[in-house]
Amino acid sequence: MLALLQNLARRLLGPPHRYLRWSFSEQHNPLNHLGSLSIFFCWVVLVSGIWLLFFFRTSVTGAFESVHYLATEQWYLGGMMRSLHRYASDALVVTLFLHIVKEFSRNAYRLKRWFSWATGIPLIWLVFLLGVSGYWLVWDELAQYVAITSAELIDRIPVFTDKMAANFLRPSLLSDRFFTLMAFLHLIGLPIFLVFGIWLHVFKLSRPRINPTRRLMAGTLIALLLLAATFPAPLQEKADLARVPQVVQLDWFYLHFYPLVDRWSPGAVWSLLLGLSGLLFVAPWLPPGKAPAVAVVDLDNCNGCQRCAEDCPYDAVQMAARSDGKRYQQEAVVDPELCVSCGICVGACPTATPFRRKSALVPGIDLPDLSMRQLRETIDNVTEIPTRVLAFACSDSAELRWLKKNGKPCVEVTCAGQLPPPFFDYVLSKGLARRILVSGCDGDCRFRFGSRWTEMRLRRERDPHLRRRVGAHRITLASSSDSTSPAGIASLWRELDNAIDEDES
Amino acid sequence: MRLIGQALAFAAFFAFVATFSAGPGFELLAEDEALLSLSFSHAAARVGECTRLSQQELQQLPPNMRTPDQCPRGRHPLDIELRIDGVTVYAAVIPPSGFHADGKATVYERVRLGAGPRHLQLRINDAGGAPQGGLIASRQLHVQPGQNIAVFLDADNRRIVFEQGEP
Repeated sequence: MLALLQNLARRLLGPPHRYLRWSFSEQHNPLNHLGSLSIFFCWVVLVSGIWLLFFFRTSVTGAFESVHYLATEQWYLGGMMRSLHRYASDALVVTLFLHIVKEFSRNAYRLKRWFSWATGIPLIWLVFLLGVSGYWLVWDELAQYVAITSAELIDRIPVFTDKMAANFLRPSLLSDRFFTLMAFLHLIGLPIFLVFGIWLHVFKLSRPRINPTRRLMAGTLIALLLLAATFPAPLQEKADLARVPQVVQLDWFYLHFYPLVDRWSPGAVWSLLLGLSGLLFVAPWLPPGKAPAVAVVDLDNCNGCQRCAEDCPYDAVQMAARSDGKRYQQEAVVDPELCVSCGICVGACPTATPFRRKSALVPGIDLPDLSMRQLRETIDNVTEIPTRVLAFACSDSAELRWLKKNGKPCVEVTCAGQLPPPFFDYVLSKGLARRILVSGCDGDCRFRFGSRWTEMRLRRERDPHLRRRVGAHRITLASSSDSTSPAGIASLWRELDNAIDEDES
Repeated sequence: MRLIGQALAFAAFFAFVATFSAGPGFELLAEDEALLSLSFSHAAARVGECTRLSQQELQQLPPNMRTPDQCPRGRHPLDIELRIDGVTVYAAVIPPSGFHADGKATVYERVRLGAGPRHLQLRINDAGGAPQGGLIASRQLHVQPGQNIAVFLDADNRRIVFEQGEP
């Protein structure tokens, strides 16, 4: 069931992902920056919100008048800022939703990666609370609907004796204090929690990507500005508690569940929201899984070079003072609570070279479930060797399934980043294959930096480098091309075959 | 070509954002409907009579508890019935709040009603069925579409108020 849902999500995201990779390139692909794009939209909301704050008045009569002034009299700046504020908030919900779907589809939320997932759930609540409180402040007909329906929801919490919704029964009951309270929540209270929540969400990650690429930020901002100038955010009629608007133009990104309060009941809506949140919270353990064995350091082969600690995407490898009396200053230490067994540290280890024959192939750091020795044996035992093309594919990838299904010679690895460059050297210089295809994850790496580090190692921009004697053109990294999909990998396979024919001719 | 592709991607994304940012509209009321909002909090009568203690009985109590009138703590529930044109549209027995059932009972109900001449009647019993605990009020209103009619209890003056908002 879980695999079915994840496969469905991957299939849904696949075509837009390929289109965006074609138009933006892998580096600037918005689907690879969903989390950081969400933070970027928060920045736009913050900056535009500060401008709105200068003019906003926290009173029953002043609230709408000040927003109306911005939308009509000061349309060229205040109106633009208001539209930016609104559209960026809406875009934030979309990127947030896609971020959740993508992490789910890549299985990047289970086992030891539960923390970022679980700390993301309060962020969803905070974003929605900010959105709802923001609509309340405008005090137009939509705000009236939002205020009454929100109050009905709050009244369902069995703590308060007096009904908050009763304050909206007739105009004389409404107080300016409501606007002061909502303004405090919207401008200070909730944003503080949001900033803290974002920090908590990413603090266990190494090199968290807080900002999208500059080109992507610039493009997004230009598009937002064009939208704000072309379609200014609408402002509805001023709220009037003596009347009930027949139709309200809802912001469906934030208020999609509000009609349910009317159609069902506040209690049913609370059940739905809490049920969904609870389901999301326990999702990393549904069903319970067994974490693979964590990376193991072999001190006899560890020279304390720090490359594994540098490359670990989860800060699971730390350097500590040497404990075995060897002349090296440091040694790598793996935190089993943080290690997700991706093997990227092994790919960074300079002792992980398959050319070692006199001593056993035991690198300074290794994965017990798929050790370097096992990997060399697998390569040595791949049938049809010498083969024209040998593929290395990430486990759980669509490409691996295609390769296996079509009987192509391939070696399964946890992550492309698990492969130290000497392994490519080994395959090519020993004549085990004419070309190598490394199929990374579709889009950005499931283990964050696997594809990126591999690409940099192959370009000799990051240690350990691919040796000069190896022609880098003979190694194709599929995740950096435009072909990472079952259809794309088939076409890439043909291209590599043709390239070998050309080499021979 | 790729720049055009990027522009199209941005256009599609923000067109989607703009489309659902303010619409489609959600109908709160039909064209010929108004809303009646029944809402108030009220402490109903206590469940029993107060008794006055004698001086001797008072002396036996700790100093901070020497109140001459000893009243039972709990209150009756509110028994409410709202009728429109003779038809009961809302009826409820609302318990008092608090762990000891000694607080106010709170009513909040919103009822849609058609525009036109309407006869409204609200009956409240806040004394557990005792004859002196009944409150009843009726009002003939000409309801207009989109109007909010507030109905509440003015507890200080023990009267039911029908307040018709300007349409």
